[in-house]
Amino acid sequence: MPRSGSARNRDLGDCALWLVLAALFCIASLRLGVGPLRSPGPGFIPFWAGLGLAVCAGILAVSRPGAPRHAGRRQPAAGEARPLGRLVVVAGLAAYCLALERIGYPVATFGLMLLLFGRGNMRPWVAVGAALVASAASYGLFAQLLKTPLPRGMFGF
Amino acid sequence: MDRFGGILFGFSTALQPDNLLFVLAGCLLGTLIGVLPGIGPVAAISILLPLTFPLEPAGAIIMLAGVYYGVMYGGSTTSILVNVPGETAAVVTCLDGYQLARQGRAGPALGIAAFSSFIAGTLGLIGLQLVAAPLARVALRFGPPEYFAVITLGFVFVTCLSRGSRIKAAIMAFVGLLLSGVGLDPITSEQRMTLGVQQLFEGIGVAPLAMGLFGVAEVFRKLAGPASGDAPQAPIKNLLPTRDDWMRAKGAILRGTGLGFFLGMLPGGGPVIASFAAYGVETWAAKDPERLGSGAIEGVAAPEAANNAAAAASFIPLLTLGIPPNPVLAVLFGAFLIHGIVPGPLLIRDHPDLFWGIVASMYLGNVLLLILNLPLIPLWVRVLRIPGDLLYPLVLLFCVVGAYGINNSVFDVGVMLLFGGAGYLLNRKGYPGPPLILAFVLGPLWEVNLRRSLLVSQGDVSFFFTRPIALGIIACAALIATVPLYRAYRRWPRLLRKNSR
Amino acid sequence: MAHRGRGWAAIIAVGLCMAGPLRDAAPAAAAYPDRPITLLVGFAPGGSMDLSARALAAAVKRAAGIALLVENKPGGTGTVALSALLGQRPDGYTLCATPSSVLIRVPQLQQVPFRPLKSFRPLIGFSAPHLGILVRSDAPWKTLGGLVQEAAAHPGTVKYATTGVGSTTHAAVEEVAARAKARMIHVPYKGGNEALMALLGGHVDFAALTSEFIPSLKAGELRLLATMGEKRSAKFPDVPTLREAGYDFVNDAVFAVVAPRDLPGAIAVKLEQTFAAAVENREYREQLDRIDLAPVSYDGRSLAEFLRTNWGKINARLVAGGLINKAATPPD
Repeated sequence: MPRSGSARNRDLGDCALWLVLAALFCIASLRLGVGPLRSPGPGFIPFWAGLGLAVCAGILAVSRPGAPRHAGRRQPAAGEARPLGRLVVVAGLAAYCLALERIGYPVATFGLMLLLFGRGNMRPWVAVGAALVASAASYGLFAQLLKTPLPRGMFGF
Repeated sequence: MDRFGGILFGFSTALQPDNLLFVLAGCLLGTLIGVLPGIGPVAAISILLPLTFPLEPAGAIIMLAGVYYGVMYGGSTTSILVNVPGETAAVVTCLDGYQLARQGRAGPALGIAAFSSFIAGTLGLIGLQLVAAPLARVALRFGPPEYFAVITLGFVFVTCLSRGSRIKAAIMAFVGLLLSGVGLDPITSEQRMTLGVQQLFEGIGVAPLAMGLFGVAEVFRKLAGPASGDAPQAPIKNLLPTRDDWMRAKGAILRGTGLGFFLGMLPGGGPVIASFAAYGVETWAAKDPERLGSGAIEGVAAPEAANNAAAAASFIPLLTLGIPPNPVLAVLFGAFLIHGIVPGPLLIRDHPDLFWGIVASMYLGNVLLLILNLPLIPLWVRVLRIPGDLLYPLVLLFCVVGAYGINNSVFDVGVMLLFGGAGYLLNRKGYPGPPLILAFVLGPLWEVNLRRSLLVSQGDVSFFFTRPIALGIIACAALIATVPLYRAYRRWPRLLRKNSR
Repeated sequence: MAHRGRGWAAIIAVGLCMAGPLRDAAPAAAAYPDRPITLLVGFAPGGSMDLSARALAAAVKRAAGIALLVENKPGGTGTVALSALLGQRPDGYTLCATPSSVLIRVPQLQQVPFRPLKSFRPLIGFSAPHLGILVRSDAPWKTLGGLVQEAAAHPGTVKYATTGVGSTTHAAVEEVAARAKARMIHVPYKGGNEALMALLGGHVDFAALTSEFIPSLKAGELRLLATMGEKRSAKFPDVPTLREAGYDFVNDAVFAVVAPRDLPGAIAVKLEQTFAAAVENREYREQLDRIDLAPVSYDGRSLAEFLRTNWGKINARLVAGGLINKAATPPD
């Protein structure tokens, strides 16, 4: 088992996060009122669930990482090749959410698709074409055929 | 008119050319909506509703009902192909369906999904036709303690649902329960953990959460990987389920159908909960539970059977009691009223043509859907050959539009993307997603029924043990819970030895 | 790589050039309304709010030829749509159809970004749900008085379901209980259907419900003990009102249309007239009856008054019931 030491440390980090989360929920629940058993208040379930989370996190923290039967099964075998690329995607998606209702669905989506396609190995003009087709086709399908009121922006479409 | 005369009479309505056309239109549209992520049957039916105003009542209802069970058929497609649940009742289908697709067995997975949908849908309709009214009465006897018991049983399955670390699964379940508490308190309408954000008053949407945790997380994983080094897909082996697949799936289909039928009838139940419960039962019933989650055909068959049986059964309370048990049927209820027909105990007497016409049209619709879906399988499988650089941005695009379409709100898109990021990180750390989503779906029902039970009994916990149905279910849950505990107990010394080495 | 970079630069340049002229496409002013009006609805399609809003839109189309497009913005118990209205230009092209409860009860229990009595211009109250107190038809109580007496004699045993804490239905029962000094157990449900099911399943003794009870009542499974309006309901002429049953108060809810506050006077007048004419439409009234709603007609002024008086009433009840100390959102 080559991974025991580092795996344990990684789990400890998670545990701290879960404990903080549990504490936040428990405090909020107490403020909402746990209530008597006769008439449980809004904080009743969140309080006990938070406590349960804390207990589980505690167990995880003190338990030695046994032989995880399937840990890492879903992890990509290859290394993370594009750390900067990931940042660009996250920034792009955040910008998309903020811009969607201002500049409208077709324009914003075109931009997003251009970014995502552009990251791949496509030639620029192919990427532009694909982005154009994707945004237009999805707009046609949802806004026209299914009558979803997609956001219209300042351009009026 | 007896039940068999009735159904013949119904076919005479349903087979009229224009009604046949409505069945077809409804099924096609439902399949499309099911395939598109996010937008579910509620949104689809409500978008269509105004368009049906000029139609005859029978045609309108037949078409809208077609959309509903069509969605149940279509929902599994994207779950299997790209790990994006087409709608909420297909979330669990992702777990094994996507693994099957990665092993090059998308064809059999899609095939078993279509066949089990058909079998369960048809069996569900037979149930609806034969025992609708008496069963609806039984369902009414289900009070808060019984619900609480059933859902507790569901939570017990959470432990079985998980692969990998049990304790991490438990953590995920508690996180799911906590997240489900966000929003207005179901009893007192107070704000809980909403941070004053108005869009959170009604809680975090289950569709954006599920799409984020499964689909978007998967897209992120692909996008974060090396650009061209898309893991080579396993070669596509066959397009239809093999004999072996059928042998494994048949029990799962029957169990899923039975459970789905029952849960579909219960108020607040419906296809979503049915599919989760059916998967839970499979993990418990399997001789080798480890197989579930790594591409087991029964993991596709059971939930797909359950959600279709539930869809059929959910018509029972509407048609016989006039009470819609879930939001989709609530919209259909509106459709009935718009046409001046009051669904309920008097429906079968006042409008036998309509009642039996709807039932008959659903039989037809199920056949149509099977015929429609089987030839599509080779086409869907080909989707997997699209290069990742093109496919995954497109998947993300459909998730985004779908999430927006649920409430016409960008907030849901943000929620989905946020949980996409969270799901990506959790996956890397070995935290399983299914317990979170299960606890999230069941949590609110569990809470509200526990609290209602306590309100009614004025804090007397023995209440749960004086009601026979509730007691029976709780006993079941206790039994099921102790089996893995016992197994774990027997394994414990061995584990300790291994770790101290 | 350099070649690709240049390709991208060219694309961005082209994009910017194309985007430039689009910006100036501002709509020219014309006679109101020169395009369809968006009617926001804070609830999902298919519910009674949505259906009645669509019926109203159809009636306006018939009566005045003006297109109202219903756009559902569900969320926040109906407050999301009203908040969305807050950010719209007061040009009369965006209105919101809402139950009065979202302007009265909800803001008292939750903090909302609008001032319920100040941020909007009420235009019309156009329909109302039937409200009633019901028992199962096999229950021993034939009158509301009998039921309340039993509750007063055995405090803490009679259980009742409502459509939610602080709802109009809950407020009515609390008022009755307070006047009779009876202590009953309230079991709140989410919406009328769940509460109705609890009543039919015998999990509660009685229920205060909105229009959802009508199918079961017609089927003879329920008994309607009282309605809550000013006068006896035309649909149930044999059933006494609360007032006739000896509890001197009226409990009403109404579906209304509101616009942003700064709506120009001329447009407001035009809209009020259009709506007032539309609700007289016979087809509209038939459609309302089919979805089990009652027609009402409050004009802008009387609707504003209705909201103000009910704000005070509901506030008093919520405070008396210990649910709030003061309204979570100030009214104006």
